[in-house]
Amino acid sequence: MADQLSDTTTQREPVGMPSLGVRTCISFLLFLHLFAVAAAVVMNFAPDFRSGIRVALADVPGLRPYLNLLAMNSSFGFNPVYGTQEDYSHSCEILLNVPDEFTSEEATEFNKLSLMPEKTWPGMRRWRYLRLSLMTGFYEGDDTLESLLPSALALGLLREHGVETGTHRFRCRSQMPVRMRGFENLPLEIRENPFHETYFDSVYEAQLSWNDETKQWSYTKQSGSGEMTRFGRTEPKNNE
Amino acid sequence: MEPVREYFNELVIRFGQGWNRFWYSASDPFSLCVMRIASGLIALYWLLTYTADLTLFFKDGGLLPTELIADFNAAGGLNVASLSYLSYLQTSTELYIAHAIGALVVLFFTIGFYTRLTSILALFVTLAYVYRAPFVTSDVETVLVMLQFYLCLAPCGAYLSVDRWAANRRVPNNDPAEENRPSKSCSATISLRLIQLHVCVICLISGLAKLTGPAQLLDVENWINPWLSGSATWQMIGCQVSPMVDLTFLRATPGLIQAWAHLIVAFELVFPFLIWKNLARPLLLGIAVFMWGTLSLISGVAVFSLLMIVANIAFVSPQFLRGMFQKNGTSATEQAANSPAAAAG
Repeated sequence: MADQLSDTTTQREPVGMPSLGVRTCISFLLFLHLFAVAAAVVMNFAPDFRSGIRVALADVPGLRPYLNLLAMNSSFGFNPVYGTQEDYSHSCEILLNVPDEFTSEEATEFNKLSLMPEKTWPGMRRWRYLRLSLMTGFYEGDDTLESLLPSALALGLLREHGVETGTHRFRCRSQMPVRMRGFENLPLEIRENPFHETYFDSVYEAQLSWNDETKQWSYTKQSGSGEMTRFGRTEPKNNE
Repeated sequence: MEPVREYFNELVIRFGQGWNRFWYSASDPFSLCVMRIASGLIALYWLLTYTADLTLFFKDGGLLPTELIADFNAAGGLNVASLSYLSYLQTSTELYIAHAIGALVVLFFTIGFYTRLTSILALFVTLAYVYRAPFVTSDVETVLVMLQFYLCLAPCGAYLSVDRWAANRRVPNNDPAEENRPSKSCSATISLRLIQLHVCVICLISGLAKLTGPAQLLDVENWINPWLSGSATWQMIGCQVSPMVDLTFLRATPGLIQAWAHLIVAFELVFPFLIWKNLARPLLLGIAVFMWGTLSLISGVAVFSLLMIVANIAFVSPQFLRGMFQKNGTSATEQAANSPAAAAG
């Protein structure tokens, strides 16, 4: 074994290799970077399962700022489908001048402002609007964050379209995919119209009212997923 | 104890030699130059698609006001930094000027103009948009930033660039073989290795994520993993908004749809291990192009699939890529450089 050892130590270094000192410095930096990437995976992959090492990693000085700086604080797991309502296309809109006792069935009677403009092109733009709509309900249940994004979108949309007064309804809806099995058994109007109302489900709704006294919009959440549970639905309801 | 000590001595030495070979063997940066052009074009497209929504998203009173991002950052709700120069620009004019300059920087990076500088600036521009609009970012930006960051480390402007053209003009040299001889570099190896490892991490974690399911699953009992049941691909095909093509006619062949889902998971789990084997590499790269290409048709995120294909170029040999460019007749001088005569000289 000693002979083998001496053989390996005398092997020639590859051509163009930097000096030992430079290699040591680069190796140290590589180690730090690879550790950060590995830590990002450990911290973000399946975050429901909290182990002690995750908590410890999250507290490593400088780790989160470094990952956030490089936008690498991610599990790097690309998964377009989870089998939950998150997979569905989401859309946001404001129904204008709705009465206080508004019900979703009456929605077609009102003018509306859609977050995503019609015939949005190219695909990357459309993807951003879909992402923005999806994120609207993402923080639901977090008392601090849940209304921040929807209210910013709603108020921004009203400003953009010059709506300055009135009572309006902001809503985010998910659109279930068309079904694979038993499609032929559906009523013709649903089969022929992939945007039929039965495909939509309310995710988040809020009332926007202009207050003449304070000269400000009041924003009141009307409903969220609540009993509907955003996660955990495996099949669209029209698959039943 | 002596054999144990010798074993660990040998282990350390061989690991060190393997580490040095893996990271520090000088290599031809041609692949990185091809990746620079491809990722630069994608980054340019990605950036230009912001143009129509620039003021709607970012101006004072727009959909994504700076206060919103600040509130989320203060509450720890975001996983990105908050250093974007776009946060300091409020009017339409300011935003459009910055946007135009950003697009120009990315264009310069793509064509390889002052590449060492513009590669860093292009990364800076991309990150500025990611920091400013984290709600509209996704896996696309994660892969784009990863590629741009690793390309900053390497001489990715060594070939197929304005820098190369200018250098050839500055130093008159009648010997085309000398001009285009591959200038191997250790930093090219480090950059290529980092991209290769990162692609493997993305594939492995993507495969595992499909098996484990989402976080915060409330209704666990009624949840069925769509990747194990094979319905995942249909859930993308059946979406009314996202897919690039209508493949709903495939409902007649559920077996095909289920096999498609299983093959995606199998590929992602196998890729990180077999891609290092010379014999399997061409096959896996071919499947990768097919897999990411077809996935883009139904997921609607063509840019992500394109970026993954570009990242896979890190596994393609520079000689093969040189051969492709030569066959296309793009570089007569490089043909000369690689000719037997030049080699003999």
